[in-house]
This record gives sequence, structure tokens and C-alpha cells, in this order.
Amino acid sequence: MDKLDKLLRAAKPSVPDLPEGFSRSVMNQIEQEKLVIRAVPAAAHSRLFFIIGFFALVASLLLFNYNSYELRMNGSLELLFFGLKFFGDFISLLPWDLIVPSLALSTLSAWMLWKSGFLKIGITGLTIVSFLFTGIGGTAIAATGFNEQIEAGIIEREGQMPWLTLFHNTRAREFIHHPNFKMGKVETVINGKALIVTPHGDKISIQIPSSSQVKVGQVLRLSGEGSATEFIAQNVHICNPNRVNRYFNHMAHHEKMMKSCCMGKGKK
Amino acid sequence: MNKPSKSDAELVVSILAANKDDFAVLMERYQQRIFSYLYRFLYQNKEAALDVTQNVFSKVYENLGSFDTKFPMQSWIYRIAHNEAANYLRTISRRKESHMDDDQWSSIPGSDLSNGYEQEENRKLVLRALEKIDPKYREILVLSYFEEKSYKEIAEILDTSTNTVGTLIRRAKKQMEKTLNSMVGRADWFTQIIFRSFLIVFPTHFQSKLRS
Repeated sequence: MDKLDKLLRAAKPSVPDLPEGFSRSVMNQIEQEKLVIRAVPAAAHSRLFFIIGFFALVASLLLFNYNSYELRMNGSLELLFFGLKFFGDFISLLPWDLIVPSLALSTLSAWMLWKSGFLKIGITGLTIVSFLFTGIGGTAIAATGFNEQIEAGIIEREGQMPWLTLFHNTRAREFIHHPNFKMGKVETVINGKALIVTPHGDKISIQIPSSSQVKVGQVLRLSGEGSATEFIAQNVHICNPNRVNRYFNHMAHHEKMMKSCCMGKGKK
Repeated sequence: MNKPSKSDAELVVSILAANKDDFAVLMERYQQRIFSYLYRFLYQNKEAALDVTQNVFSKVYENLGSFDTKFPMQSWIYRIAHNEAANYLRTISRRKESHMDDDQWSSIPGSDLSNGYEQEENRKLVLRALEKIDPKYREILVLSYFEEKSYKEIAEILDTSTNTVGTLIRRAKKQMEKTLNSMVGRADWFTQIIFRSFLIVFPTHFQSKLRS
């Protein structure tokens, strides 16, 4: 490296002088373009930006958490078990009315935190950190059963937190209704026909394909054709009960909440 | 009667108090240094360096209100120059303009034959290699070797840590070595440079050797 050091030092290019009156021409440019010294935001202003930005980030985290929760609870993820067959339906079931505001809030919070001047890292880094924080944080919390605990708490303290109750009644309230997809717990099996109970509590008779065998107590994920009461299954998946029981518990909570808080007027 | 010259901080206070003329004083203090840095960083392109220097001082003027007088003015202006140079390079790379043409290379100031033709050849080779490496590495080599800035000063200009500066310089030198190797076409570029120098200084001796 010493050789390179010497070569680099020896290669130092000489620099021509600036033209006469360079500073005068810059001053003229400043005059002509009417450039002014920009006002610096006051410290209190910056602090306000930082505080609002921080709370926007927390709000964004909550929204992301609900995105994940709603996505988990509406059963749309189950559609993906059949490959790309129901992908269009899956996309339409994404909670865009929550996703768009949460993305907007994340961006706003990143911009405000950057604008506050309290953080020295670049806006790109900050934006990425915000998205990771809100996205991963929200998803992680949703995966812990935290939301279910909140929901249970709301049911116990009915009427004490009306805004939270309202939110829970209007969000994540439905398990997917799809003409070619059904899911439910097997109650009885007779002559190749099974009676399943959906997370909504509805009973549907299923014609099971001859190649499949099901038992009472299993939770099935089915694709096929049929009506609201009779369904001819073409594909049958047997689900992991530990994973899918959350739908049944969730819908049961909802039914209870609807009855207690909304006098049974809520959408089933 | 000579007035004692004002410090940078005093000049800033004065400019902010609407004494615009003091900005010319501040500019004259730094303009040649900034131009020199930009000239060396922007491929010895005088026109580009002049334009960017002008933009730098317009930006300095506009943002003077946010300058913290506790920090060195020089590093602050260099940082603005660094940002403006980066903007300039982005613009020309979008337009796919070449940085320098052959005439520009042959007219590099200081190409005086009496200084030693071989030295001049080496210098051109190094400058060509500098043009080929990543701009972020070229900038750090310009600041370190041509502008002779310390690690601390470079860290302030690039808004990074001194450790990062050390790492960047090490990587920049590695990339320079690779580029020089590929330009000369042999593994030991230093030997090549020495060989070329001898070829230029003693052409007849080597030509007779090659013939035999």
C-alpha cells in the first residue's frame, strides 16, 4: 500500500485559480434569485414534531397489529393453502382500509421524526426502521394472542371502554364466506357425508371425496362447490387443531360480545 | 488602518443581522479551498467545479440560519459541497454524460515535460484509475490525499465516524489497486509503471533488447 500512497500523493492535480470576481458573481446570483436565509425551526417546534412523530409511529404500530390480527382471524390465510387458486379472493380480503392508513401513518411519522432534527440518521434508514418496527412489531404482537386477551378484557368490562368495543365490533368480526371454500369441525360422519360446524356456528353437510377419510373432531379445510347447507368437496385438508381453533374461539367471543354490547343487532 | 478580521462565528452573526456584504468576506475565505476540492473530485472539470462551487455558496447562504457556530465552518461548507457534488454526479450519470474527454486529459495542468515524462505518465494513470473507481471512494481519496484532510475532518464532512473513514480509505485503496491492475493488464502494476518509465526514458536500450 505504501507504493500506492506515494503514487496518489504524487498524482495530486494542480488546481486553476478561481476567476476574478467569483464572489461578486455569487453575490449577484443571490441578489438576482432573491435568495433568503431560511428560518430555522424553533426548538419547541422540533420537539413537537418529534412527539407527534413518535405517537404517529405508535399509532401505526397499533394499526399494523390490527392488520395482522384481522388477516389472521378472517380466515383469508386459509385460502392460500390451496395454492394460487383463491389468490384473487385473498387479495380482496386484505384489510386495505387499515393497511393504507397504517402505511400513511408510518410515512408521516418517519417524515416528522426526520424533520424534527433530533435524529441524525437518514430518512431512508428511518423509514425502513419505522416500517420494520410497525410491521414486524405488529405482526409479532398479533401472533402472541395479545389481541385475544384485549378482546376478552373488553368483553369482561363491557361498556367501560366504548370506543374500543366499537372498534372490536367493527373489525375482525367475520370469518370468510366463500362459495367454493368451507372450513369447520366434524360433528358426525355417515356414509361418506360429514356434518361440519363452521366458526360461525352454522352446520353444513359435506360430501367427502371417496379418496379422503375424516373423523369426528377433526377440523377440515375444503374446496369445492355447493350451497349454504350442502357442499360437494373436491379437496380436503385436515388442519392442525392447535392452529385453527383460534377461529372458533374468536367467533365465539364475537357472538358473546355482539349479544352483550349490541343487543344482538350486530352482523353475524 | 487595518480592521482586525472577524472570526467565522462573528461573520455569521453579522450576516444574520442583515450585513450581506460580510457573506462575500466569508466566501472569499473558503471559495478557493472548496473549488479545489470540487475540481479534484469532479474529474478536473473546471466548468463543473465552478458551477457546483457557485451552488455550494448559494446553499451556504440559504442555510446559514441553521449553522451551529460551535462547529467548524470549514467542515460544514465541505459537507454542503459533498452533497452538491453528489447531486451533480447523479445528474450527469442520469444524462450518461462522460466526465472528461481525451483532450481534457491531455490538458491536465502540470503536464510539464521538464518534470519528468515518466512521472507525468504515472500521474495520468493514477488519475484515470481514480476516474474509474466508485465516486464515494474517489471522494475519500481526494479528501485524504489531495486535500490532505485528517480522518476527523473527513468524518465531519461526510457525517460519519473516523472508524468508517478508515474503512472507506482502505477499501478505496483496494479498489484503486484492482483498477490499476486491470488498466495495466498485469498483476504487478507497480512493476509495470516502473517498466513503462524506463521504456520512456531509455527507449533505444529496450528496443535493442527486444530485437535481440
